[in-house]
Amino acid sequence: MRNLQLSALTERLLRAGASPRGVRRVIGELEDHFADILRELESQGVPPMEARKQACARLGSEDVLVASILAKPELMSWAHRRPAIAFGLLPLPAFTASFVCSIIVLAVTSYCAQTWLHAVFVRSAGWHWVSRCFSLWNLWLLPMVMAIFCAYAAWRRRVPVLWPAVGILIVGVIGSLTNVGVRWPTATSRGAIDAGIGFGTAHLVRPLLRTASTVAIALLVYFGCWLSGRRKAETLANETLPLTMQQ
Amino acid sequence: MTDAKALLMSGVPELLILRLLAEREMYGYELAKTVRVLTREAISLGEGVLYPALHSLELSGLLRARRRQAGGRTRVYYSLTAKGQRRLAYLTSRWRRIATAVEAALAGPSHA
Repeated sequence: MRNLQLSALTERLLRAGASPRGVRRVIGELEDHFADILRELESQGVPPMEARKQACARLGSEDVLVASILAKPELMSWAHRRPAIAFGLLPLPAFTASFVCSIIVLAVTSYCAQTWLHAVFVRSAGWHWVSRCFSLWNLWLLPMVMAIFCAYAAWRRRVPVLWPAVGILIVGVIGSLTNVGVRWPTATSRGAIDAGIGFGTAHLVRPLLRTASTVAIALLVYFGCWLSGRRKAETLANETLPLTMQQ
Repeated sequence: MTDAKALLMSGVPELLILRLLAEREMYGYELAKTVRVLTREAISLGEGVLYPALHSLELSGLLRARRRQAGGRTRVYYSLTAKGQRRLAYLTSRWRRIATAVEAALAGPSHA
């Protein structure tokens, strides 16, 4: 029974700041409950239309249900209440932590490979491929993934675009200024992973391109989700349904 | 009038939920149906309101929820935790104290 009433209720709860996971669960259980009431009434010989009307009445009004959820702070989304922290500030430490983690993973993997597998890094085409992938991930993909995640998480909680845009821009700029390089160990020298932040005035095109692509793709995801949600709501609004949960 | 009813009903849904789940684990519809039958429909909660209450109690650690297959469908069954048992004991004693006091007041001063 995923229909207009429950879709509208979902949207209303999310916009009011209820946690998306909690909303999904309440809606799922309400659907089951509604189906159970219908089955019970129909087994008693109540005609289907009347059964639907009675089932809606038994579930209670949408306003009361929304009010009962909004009255419980534990069912509300923390990120919706504090969008500046969740979407404006947190993406940067999350990006930094992921960046450091990926360096640690590469360092540990290469150390283990060298110790136990006696991998000869300098001559191995495979390890050069690994180092290229590592750079691609850290310099291009990681900021993009982080920014897209921020955009999607904000849209899921129906947070207005302002704070997610700030977070995305910060991740885009900082991500574009980071540098990382791998020097594999040779017979005479130890390997190293270099990482840092900064830019040269002579090479501004590349960081700008990285920032622009990250910000553009993440905002595209946000507005794409927003548009598809709006289209879905319009489609549902055009459907005529005999009943609503409103009493 | 609505406020007065809300005041009278304050804490009742929680007490009923905890009491019924102390007997056995139930899913939402089963719980709502049992409340209607046991209270002879004197207490008619909007059945939809049951779920936010259940989720809130679960988040407070008073209930635990688990998914279980029943009759070819997956349902979320709720049961009482040890913390829930303690809360039930507290709410029950408080309810009895209030009910006794109200009964005494309704009986009038001559019965004191």
